[in-house]
Amino acid sequence: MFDNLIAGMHVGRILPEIVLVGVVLLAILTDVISPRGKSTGPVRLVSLAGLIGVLVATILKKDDFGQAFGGMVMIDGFTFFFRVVLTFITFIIIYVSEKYIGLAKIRIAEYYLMLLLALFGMMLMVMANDLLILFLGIETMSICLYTLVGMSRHKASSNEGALKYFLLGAFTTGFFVYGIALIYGSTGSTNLTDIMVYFRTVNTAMPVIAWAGVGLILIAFAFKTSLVPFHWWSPDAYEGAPTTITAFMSTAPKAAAFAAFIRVFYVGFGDLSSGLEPVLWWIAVLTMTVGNLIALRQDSVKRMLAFSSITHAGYLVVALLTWEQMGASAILFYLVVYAIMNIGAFLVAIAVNRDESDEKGYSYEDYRGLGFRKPILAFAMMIFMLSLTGIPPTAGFFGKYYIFSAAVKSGFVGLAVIGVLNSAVSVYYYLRVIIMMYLKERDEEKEAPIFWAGEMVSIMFICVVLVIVIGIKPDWLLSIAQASVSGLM
Amino acid sequence: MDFAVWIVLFPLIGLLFNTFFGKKLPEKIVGWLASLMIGASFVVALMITLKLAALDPEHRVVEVTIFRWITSGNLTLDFAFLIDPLTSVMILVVTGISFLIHIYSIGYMHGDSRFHVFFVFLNLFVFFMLVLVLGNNLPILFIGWEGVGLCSYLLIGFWWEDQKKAEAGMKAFIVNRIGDFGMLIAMFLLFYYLGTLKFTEMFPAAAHLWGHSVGAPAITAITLLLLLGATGKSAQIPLFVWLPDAMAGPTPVSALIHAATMVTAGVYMIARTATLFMLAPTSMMVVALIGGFTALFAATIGIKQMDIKKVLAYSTVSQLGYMVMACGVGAFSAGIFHLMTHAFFKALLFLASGAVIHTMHGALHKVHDHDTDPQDIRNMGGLRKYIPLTYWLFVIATISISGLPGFAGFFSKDEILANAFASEGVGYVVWGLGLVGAVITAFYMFRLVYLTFHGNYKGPEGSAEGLKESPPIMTAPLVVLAILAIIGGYVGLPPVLSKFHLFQTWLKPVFEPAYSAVHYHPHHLSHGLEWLLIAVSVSAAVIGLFIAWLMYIKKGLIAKSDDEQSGIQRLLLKKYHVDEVYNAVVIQPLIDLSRYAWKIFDAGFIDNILVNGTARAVRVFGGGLRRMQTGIVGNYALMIALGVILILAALMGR
Amino acid sequence: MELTLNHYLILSAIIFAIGVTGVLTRRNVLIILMSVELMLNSANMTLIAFSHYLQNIDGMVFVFFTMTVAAAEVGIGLAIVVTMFRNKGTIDVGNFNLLKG
Repeated sequence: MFDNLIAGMHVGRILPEIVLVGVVLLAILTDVISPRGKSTGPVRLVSLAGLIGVLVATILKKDDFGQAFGGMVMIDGFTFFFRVVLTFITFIIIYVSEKYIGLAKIRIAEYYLMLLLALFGMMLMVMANDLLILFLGIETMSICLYTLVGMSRHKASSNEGALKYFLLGAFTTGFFVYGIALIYGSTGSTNLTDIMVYFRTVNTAMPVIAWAGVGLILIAFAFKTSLVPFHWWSPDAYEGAPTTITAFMSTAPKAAAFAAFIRVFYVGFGDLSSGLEPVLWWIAVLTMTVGNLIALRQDSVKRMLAFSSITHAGYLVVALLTWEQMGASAILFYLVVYAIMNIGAFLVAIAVNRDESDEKGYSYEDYRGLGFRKPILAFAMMIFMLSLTGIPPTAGFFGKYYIFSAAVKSGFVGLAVIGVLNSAVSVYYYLRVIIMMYLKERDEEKEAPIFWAGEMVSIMFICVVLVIVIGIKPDWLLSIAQASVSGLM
Repeated sequence: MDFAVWIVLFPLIGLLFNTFFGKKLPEKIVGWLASLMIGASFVVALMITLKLAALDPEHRVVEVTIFRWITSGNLTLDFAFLIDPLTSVMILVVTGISFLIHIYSIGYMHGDSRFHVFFVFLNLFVFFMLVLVLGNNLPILFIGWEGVGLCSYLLIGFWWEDQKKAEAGMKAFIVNRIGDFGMLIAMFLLFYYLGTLKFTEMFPAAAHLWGHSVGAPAITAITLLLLLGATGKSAQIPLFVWLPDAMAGPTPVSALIHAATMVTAGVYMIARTATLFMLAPTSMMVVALIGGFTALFAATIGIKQMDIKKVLAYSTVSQLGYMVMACGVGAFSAGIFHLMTHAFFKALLFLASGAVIHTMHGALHKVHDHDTDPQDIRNMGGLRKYIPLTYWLFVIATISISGLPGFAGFFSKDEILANAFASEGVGYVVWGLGLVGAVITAFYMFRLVYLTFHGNYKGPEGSAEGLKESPPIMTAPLVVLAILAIIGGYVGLPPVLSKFHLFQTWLKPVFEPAYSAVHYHPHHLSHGLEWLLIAVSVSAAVIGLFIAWLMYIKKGLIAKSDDEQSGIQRLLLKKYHVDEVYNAVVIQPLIDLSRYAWKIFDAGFIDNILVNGTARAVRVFGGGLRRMQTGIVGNYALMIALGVILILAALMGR
Repeated sequence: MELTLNHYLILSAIIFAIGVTGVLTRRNVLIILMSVELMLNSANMTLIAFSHYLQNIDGMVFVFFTMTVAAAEVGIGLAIVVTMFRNKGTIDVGNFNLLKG
């Protein structure tokens, strides 16, 4: 009987996560046995090798889909997609970090360990079919991120970013758990499938506390994906964090949060779409607009990218609102594209930044005449900026194109108009970087040396190529995204 | 016709080669390689046209698929080229003019420290322009559309040392985004209603959907949004402000991008989507009026400009107005015809003005004068003696643009005006606008010729010896263009002269479906009326010429600076009683109108209120929101709590 | 008087509101942390109350996890507070506004 129970749990389906935990343990061990102060190199190699193992495990299990642990987790194409994407992003960040963490004076192995554990949390989030697993995933990820933001212990801005992120994050966790409690109370379960069944049957007369629960869970997601008006932490945490971590946070955890967002709201609360529509409509409009307008007034490229990241989240909400497969696949497509161009942009920002020990830094001024100083680097930045703006033939154009065409198709013409207007406004601040690079004279006295690392250059190169390739031929990625969401609804 | 793909591959090869090796190679190789690649594209374009001509007229639609591009849900798009008569005209014009301008640039850009970069951008521009006109669906068109905009912006700001030029580039880009916004929304709406964005499927579907409800709100909205895109790209009211500023770029760029090719993309787009526009009569009326008013207003502004390139810039806006107007009255092929002849004579004008500037620059350089503006016509005069070849070439182009009989511009402009006159609705109004515009065009163009080439040289002392003809590499392309500016019009003789209108017949299969979708039959004028119209428009040109001659040759008037402007009136009143009538009836109102139009539309309204005002409002708003990001955690938590209350209230209060 | 589900729910809602008010009004990081704990515990109470009245064990299990997570969170929070104190010599959140605008 016990054997049956084990078999019914389908432990094999979470093989990638098991491998990942093994990697974490191995990395801790490596840290312990390496000579003091010299452990980051070996830990990094173990982590990278381990992440390849995770990928292999993911691919090995790519046909073994279904629920596991009695419906607690759901392994499907959607999970598979995000497992691969998240592992890749984590791999890239770990790959490029070694030289940077030396520069930022955070040469401790915990940097890599926390990234791996954050990945574990995100993996839980993307496969969670139960609010409990979701909660654990979000918290595992968040706790690691709090630490990662504050990694530069000697920098007041890093501490401050971590503290703000932590306090507001904990605050929202309170709402989240309370929301789960209310949902549990009204539906009698924390399982998304059960919740869906409940909502489908009693849709007409839903108790007020169930709506309150849905609202509180929505708020938790809005916080994690930094939607207005729950975005306050993100610019400050993004700016304070070491820049590799900023690149990480604006891509992987955001992707994981949107994945969970889609699963919970499409599967669990799928029947409440009409009720949620007005709220999400306003959130989408505010998020797109507010992030954009503040980004206009920034003097730091890093902080500008932080605010623009809010705007991009707004575009994703537009697609989420469609409550259709087309919108969901547009989100997946956009998340991948956004990760590529944003990581690329942050890597250029790291290379160009004047002085890492400066509390602020990352000024637009550093880009003055870069086009003539470092033509290739400037070219890469130009491609990323154009892609973020959404100008063809770059990947970013198709990201927006799919989102807004999905929105129009579902009848949200107003939202699409506001979105396209916003992306027109965003030209201004992305273009400012290009203008600085190509149209401003060099000021050779003030120029700081470029920070080069072979890993960073190779990843930058790959990002440029991908942005252009997807910009020319986007459909393969979109068809993968479509296949991934097909099982969801 | 699979070889068609080479037309875009040649520029691509050229730009890749120059990107990687251009820096190390001598100018000659870089310049000629870039030019020859475009020349090769031109040969391909010719081959495409000949192959197309060999087919039956109704089969002249060939699609060349390059690869499967997008598959998303029920939207399947190939990256494919649509080759039909309209495309063939466009690719011939684009590659032909580009080839000549590339060669010219070898001489013009000689000695520039970033010579190869210039040619890389130029090749990139041609690549995107070809993608724009060849694309078989709206997204490809849009990619080319954005690409040429980007190149234009990069090339305007090419001499980046100059802050003003950088700003001009920026302005061009931002104004164009307003237009692009219209395009994108129109594209989404079209997909929503028709389920396809491929031209060959879209037009029958549109005809089917709206054929019985012509002028339905949806199609009117879509076409107006498309028109917004066209006004941005083709510099029409209200989005024309960027083009005169864009003249900050090097002159070959002005000639290629801001006169002959890119700015005509809006006209091309309207002609391409002719079926949609025909289904929306209100939009057609708006198109015609916008074109007509732009033609007139830009012309009046041209009267008063002192910068040789600014005059040409406003005249470009004005001529584009004629093309848009032609589309608006349903005479699409006339619009494309004018697009072609305009490409010839306007490229010639710009390149010749570039040669003038080059000459002036050289002369001023000789006497170490760096303060005198080599583009200001007040510093010129009498150049005829020094650079006779450039002078004659400039005169040929001027005659052509003014619409004097026998030259290319005459045929196309006359066809537009005749079609406007014959059309219903606002036909007479736009015809009137176009006619007055024609008078003014002749006036300001001959004013330019007289002030630049006639009279006495007014440059700094001693610099006259330095005035000499530009090198053959610059003048040779001009001669070719001059020949085209003379004979280019004979492919489309008016009905009174010839039964067979080659150009119209060639384009007929393209626009036939647009007309049949709404059962529209273009009106035909009687021969007598047609002769009368020709006489009227010729006399319009002659009147303009005569006034210019009277003022600037006979009476030796010289151009005054802006603050002395009111002096003209005194001067006229005091000395030349003959001119009193002209002054009161024509000149003064025109000067007033010009000043008024310039103030209202350029400096005042659009610049200050629309462009700057919006930008300022956005910035102020952004600043306010920025202050909400106080940095204090307590405030953030409070905002979050307020957000929670709002969301819960919205959800629970249902 | 018999204690019903509503009594528990109302009590936990009140405690939750007290926690929220604490976070909003206090400036000392430690007290803010305590207030967050109040919020979490009120949620736990709701879970247990529901669990009892629904005769369903899931809610109780959830509480164990919440408590564990809360403990981990406090651990991280205190670590951040310590580094912050070292750098700035204060734990008043009103003084931390280097990053803004």
